[in-house]
Amino acid sequence: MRALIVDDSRFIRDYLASVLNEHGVECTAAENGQAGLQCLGSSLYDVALIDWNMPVMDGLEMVKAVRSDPKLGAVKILMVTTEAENGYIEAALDAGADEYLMKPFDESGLMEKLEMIGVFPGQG
Amino acid sequence: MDELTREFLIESQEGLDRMERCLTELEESPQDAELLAEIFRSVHTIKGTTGFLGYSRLESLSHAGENLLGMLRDGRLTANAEIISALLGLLDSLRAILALIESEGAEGEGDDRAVIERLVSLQDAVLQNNSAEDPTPVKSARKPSRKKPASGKRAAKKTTALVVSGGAAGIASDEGAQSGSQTGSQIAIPVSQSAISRPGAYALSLNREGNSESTAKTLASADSTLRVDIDLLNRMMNLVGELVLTRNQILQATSADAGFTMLSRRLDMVTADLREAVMKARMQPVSYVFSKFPRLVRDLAQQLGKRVRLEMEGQETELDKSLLEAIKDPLTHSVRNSIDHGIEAPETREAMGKPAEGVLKLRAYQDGSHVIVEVIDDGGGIRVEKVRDKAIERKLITTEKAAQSSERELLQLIFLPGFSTASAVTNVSGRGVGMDVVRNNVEKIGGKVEIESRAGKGTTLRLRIPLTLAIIPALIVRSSGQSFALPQGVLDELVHLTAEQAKAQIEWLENTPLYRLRGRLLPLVFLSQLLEQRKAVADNTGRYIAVLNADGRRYGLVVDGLADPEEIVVKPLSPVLKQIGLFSGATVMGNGEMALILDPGAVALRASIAISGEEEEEQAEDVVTLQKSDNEFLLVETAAQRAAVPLGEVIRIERIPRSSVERIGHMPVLRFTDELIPLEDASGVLHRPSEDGSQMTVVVCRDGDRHVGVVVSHVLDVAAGAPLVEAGTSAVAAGVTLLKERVTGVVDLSRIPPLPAPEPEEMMEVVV
Repeated sequence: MRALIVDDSRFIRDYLASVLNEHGVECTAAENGQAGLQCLGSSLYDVALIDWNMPVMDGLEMVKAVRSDPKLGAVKILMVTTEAENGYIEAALDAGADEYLMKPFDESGLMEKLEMIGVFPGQG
Repeated sequence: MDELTREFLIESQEGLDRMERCLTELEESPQDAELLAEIFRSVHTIKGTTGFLGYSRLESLSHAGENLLGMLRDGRLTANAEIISALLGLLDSLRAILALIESEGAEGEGDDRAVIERLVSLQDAVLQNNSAEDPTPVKSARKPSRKKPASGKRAAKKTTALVVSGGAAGIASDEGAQSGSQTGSQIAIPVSQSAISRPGAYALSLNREGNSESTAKTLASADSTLRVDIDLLNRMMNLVGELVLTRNQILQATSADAGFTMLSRRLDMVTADLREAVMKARMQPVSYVFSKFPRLVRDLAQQLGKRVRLEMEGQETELDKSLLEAIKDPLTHSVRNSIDHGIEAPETREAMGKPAEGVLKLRAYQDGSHVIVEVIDDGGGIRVEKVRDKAIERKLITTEKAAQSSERELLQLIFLPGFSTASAVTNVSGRGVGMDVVRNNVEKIGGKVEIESRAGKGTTLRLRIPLTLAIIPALIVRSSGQSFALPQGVLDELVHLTAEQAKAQIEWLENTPLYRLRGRLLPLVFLSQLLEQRKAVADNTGRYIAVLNADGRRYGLVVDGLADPEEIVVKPLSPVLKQIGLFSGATVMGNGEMALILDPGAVALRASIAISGEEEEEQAEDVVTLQKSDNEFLLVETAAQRAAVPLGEVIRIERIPRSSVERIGHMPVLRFTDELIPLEDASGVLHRPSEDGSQMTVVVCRDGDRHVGVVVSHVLDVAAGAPLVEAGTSAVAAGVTLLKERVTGVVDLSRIPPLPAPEPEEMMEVVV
């Protein structure tokens, strides 16, 4: 299982990677949406965990770009951010994100959301 | 502290540094969407991550800031000085808490209400009807944004897209295209330019133990840079130092062995390269220090009601981390000084025909093995007369000395302890600890401070900082059988004297040894005497004079012998040796022997060598030729000392019986032709018991309008005296001349006291 972490915070990247590593998920990280898109274009991932507010290209923009690319249809998208209002969640889901995870979250919260979108870490 | 917390601290601090830069820029362009987005993001990221670590103070503070920043970003508020000040206040609070977490592992107790309320009240203008609802965001910290009014939601959403369009190079959304794309696709924030990490660079294998430490390590490798603890770098530097020492020893030990030459030469090269690499790893751009100044300058200028534009140049210039830390305070002080004392109030400037806005320029560049950092202002400059008067008033210099000093020398007085030219003591600078602190700090790291100033035009303060501290080239000198290291930087030249030359050419004026170096007087310091070493070397051997220029003090250090120059590794001194105050460190030499590193500045101070400005040698020689012709002296002997009387002033040499000397009160006088002249009797001839009819010699001279007599034991010769130029200055040494290759004191005729006001009877008596 492989995950792409897209977040401008090194802390969040490390935190997510440490949790996912414990569940046997192989992680790659990108600092913004544009870098994230390049990663998706060059390698196969099961899931992308995308932050909302990032420089250069933000999360919503990246989700739209992923969903407009038919080759990337299989990638599950989990939006990870602090923007909590309904409007944001709707916008993310409208754009093609599969689920939404709010910061701060803990390990079980993350795992729960991943299972909800059909990603089961530890099952290869 | 665990790895994640450390990561959080570093990232947050970086974010705040960025925020600080952007905030000061924001003042210039309050509508800049990219700046606002960057500031918003810095605070937002802190808010987003504190929740994971449970730092509630940080969270409530950053939440309050985020709300305000959101409004700015949405264009519902426009940044003004008040808002920027409040955000800077937030920045300071956040920094303080981060510092607490770093030092104590917890954010501690503290009342952030004032800061938060200030931020909230600024939003009130927009949120008038809602302000009462959410006065203390502290309690609603967890999921606070739900309480935002509906109008805020929509606007915030719109701007999120807007900001993207500014940065996403053409992938603009419909919303963003309406208003945000004018800013272009240029990304203004340099920090985020290298955003693409190599995909898969740290892909972890499935079976690996995924503890957080290994994760952090693998993750870090994704970036092209790596954070290294400064302690580790210091240790590396120390180890490289040891390696340099070992190399020096091996080079010496194997120099005779042809089989080893190739090997040791290779070791030499590798060591040199390694040293360079480690030094480079310790380098940081000066922007690290410079970046603090926009904020400082802004705050100060506002506080003092001045207008100052800060220009910075050469921020990429690199300097050793520890040196950079060391110049932070002196530089800050200099910048404060420039704004406080240098740049004038806008009205004053305009009255003088200058633009109301003053310019403060920070400039850094490398110059050989030094980095120069300049603080340049276009303010009022330093009035030399003011400096002189103040220095005289504070008894830092005598009136006579001040009259002889050049402007440049007078300017240097501001570096003396207890000097401050501010007419009024402000709370910014001018507490009497000023430039002397700057100079001390800079000299402590082997640097120098220079100042140039033109009244009305401005002042330039120049800090000259060595590239590195730990390893320096030095000359090894020997004195009474011991070795000492002399930093090459202060060494001007070496002079060798044979035993005879040493005896003949080292001259003594009172108790001061002097050497005449190309017609200029060079005060000498005998190292063995200074250190009170037991004399192990007989007088009949040659000597070396190391001509040093330490902080404007030029002198010759007399040593017994020289060894090769070496690259030495500076080791700290034990407190016992430090107390002596003459050494700056210790080192191990190539032959394995220990050597103390002399501090040339401290040696000069101990030996009371005066500051002498640096002048070009040619100039000094010009002066010599100019004055040579009119300098003929009568060489006389008074008691055992030789003295010179300017020949032009000599009227007669009288051989007279001692009985012809008369006295008015205690003053000896002599009747010369038909007037009474005072006699100067330095040698005390007149006090010796006299035999009847014994003769004495009096040189009668002209001194202005009067005549005076000088009692001498012998008249030796008439000779052309060469004026002696004080080493290091173009000034002719007062009171001494060079006669028959010897330094000779010149009799100062004007100091002979005038005749006491005579009482009529006495006068009669004498006349009769």
